[in-house]
Amino acid sequence: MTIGIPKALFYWKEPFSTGAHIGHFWEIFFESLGVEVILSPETNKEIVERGVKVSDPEFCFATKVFLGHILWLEGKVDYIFVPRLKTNEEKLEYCPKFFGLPDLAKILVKTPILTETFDMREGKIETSLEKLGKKLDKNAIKIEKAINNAFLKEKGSKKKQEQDFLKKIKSDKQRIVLISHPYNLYDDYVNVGIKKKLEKLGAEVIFIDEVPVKRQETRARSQKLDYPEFHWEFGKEIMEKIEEILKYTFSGAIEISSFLCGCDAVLKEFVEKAFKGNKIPFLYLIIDENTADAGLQTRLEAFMDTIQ
Amino acid sequence: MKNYLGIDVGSLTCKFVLINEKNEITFSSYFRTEGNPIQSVQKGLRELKSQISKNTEIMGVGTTGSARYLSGVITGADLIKNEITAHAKGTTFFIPDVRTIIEIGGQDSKIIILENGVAVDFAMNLLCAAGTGSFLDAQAFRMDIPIERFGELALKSENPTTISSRCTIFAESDMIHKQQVGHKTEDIVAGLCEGLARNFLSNVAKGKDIKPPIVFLGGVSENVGMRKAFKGALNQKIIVPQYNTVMGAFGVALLVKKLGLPKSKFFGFEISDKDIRCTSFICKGCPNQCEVIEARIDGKVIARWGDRCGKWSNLNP
Repeated sequence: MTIGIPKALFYWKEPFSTGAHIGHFWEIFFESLGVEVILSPETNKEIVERGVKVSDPEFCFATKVFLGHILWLEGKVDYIFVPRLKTNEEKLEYCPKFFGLPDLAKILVKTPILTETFDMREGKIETSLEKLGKKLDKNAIKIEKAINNAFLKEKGSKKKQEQDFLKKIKSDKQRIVLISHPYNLYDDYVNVGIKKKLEKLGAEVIFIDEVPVKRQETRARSQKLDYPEFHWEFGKEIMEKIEEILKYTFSGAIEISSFLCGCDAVLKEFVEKAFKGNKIPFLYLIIDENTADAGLQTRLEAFMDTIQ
Repeated sequence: MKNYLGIDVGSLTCKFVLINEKNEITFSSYFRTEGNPIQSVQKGLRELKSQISKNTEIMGVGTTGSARYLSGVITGADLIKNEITAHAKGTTFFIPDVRTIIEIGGQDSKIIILENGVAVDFAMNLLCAAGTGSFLDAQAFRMDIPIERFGELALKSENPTTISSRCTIFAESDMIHKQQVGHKTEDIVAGLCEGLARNFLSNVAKGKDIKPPIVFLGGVSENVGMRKAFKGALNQKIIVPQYNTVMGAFGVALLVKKLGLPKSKFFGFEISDKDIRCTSFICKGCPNQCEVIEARIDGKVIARWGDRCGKWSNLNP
């Protein structure tokens, strides 16, 4: 049996993934169950074009890209895996589009969609994973082993990421923090190669996702920041990480937002305030399938000039 | 005589500025690109050559504007600089204490915030080119008013009508509607200027701390109706300095001079007469299918760009 996993949206999300050092949570989980896994490739022009073609114009860019990945997998596998992510360990909600991804995928392709709901208000993450394993007719012992394998690898990745962060934050170059959702940060095609572009201009790029924070219910809030209790997990996550990064020195911050992302429209106000209030140069960029390379380059060059 | 050349090629117009060792502008030109940046650069160089003395020595060439890369490649520029930095540099030369620069060109509009002569924040129009020169051009053409007279006409209005400012398409429908219900042309033109200023301030300049002195630059700053509209909307004096349309070219000339290069890489005025062409092809190397641009002078490839991976641009001779 083969399972296809789209390399988009949920693929990059915690607690299942640790960005640059992806622990390959889903691959390890399924492979440990004795299932062959096929990943869709890195996003490319063809995937974007196919996704945009079938998308409602109101979808955010990241969702259009996701649908392109689903289409790439169609017919190549027995099942396409699309989990329904509803709430995380802190019982905070994922973006509403994550609720509907399996349904969108089902009406798009003929290949059956394998799904399971991850709602940690209802039960632990392991419970959902067990249900998922049972859908594939695997026994409890095998499933437990697969869960452990996947989490173990993920833990290792997390550690590596922390070490990397500590190295980067001490770099002699101009340290620039990039703020966005992991599926925009780690997808070079989607973000128009912003990391490479900044590195060429002499920057050390730090993704906000890489900033280590300790997850605690009762974190002491710093006086430097003022933001509400977020309804969304990414809102809390990004603001907490900003709070942490503000303890270090860096040259500037750039936020990338998917065109038509409603959640970002709210979040942006707090992100911008956090940096500007602390006198850190801030640039806001919106990306979509029409993002011109030249326009982005101009803004990045000017930004690097202003911080020098 | 040692001189430094700044070239600013934008979406609609092309600007040339030559400065001497004392930073004095000894030549400047401003003309329409007419959709052909290469020929415009050649034309600009030809005109420049005809107006300068024989002992003029070009010690450095800088390019800026949205076609800065192309114009830099075909002239052998020593410096290719973004237009934000170039405008900030040029403006602070004339008005050292400037705090806000509003620059509206053919398709871009930008705001630059400065502190102590240094740009500290900026914004450019993100996904929408509403309110830039191209739109004013199109409306002037549609109403059969020469663009140079558009602003004067706006000043005649005593009762500007409200024109939707969110989107140029809606602004145009709004203007047509106002014409159809019998509003005076000058009131519509003035209303349009006010709408565009409002649009700029609520989109591009949103959240920016606009402090005086405020300097207004770019082709659209020639429009007295727009100057008045910004003055009214901001309730502040709007300064439109001399060289308002060529400030980016002046800025990049200053920047290249500052490099203090012993010798320029400038290809010379001869390139005006050479056959310069750009062609493009789709790279079939991967599913990205990038459109790669190839620039040639007299058939010889001088540069390639447009690829995501660098396979072609790294091949540059």
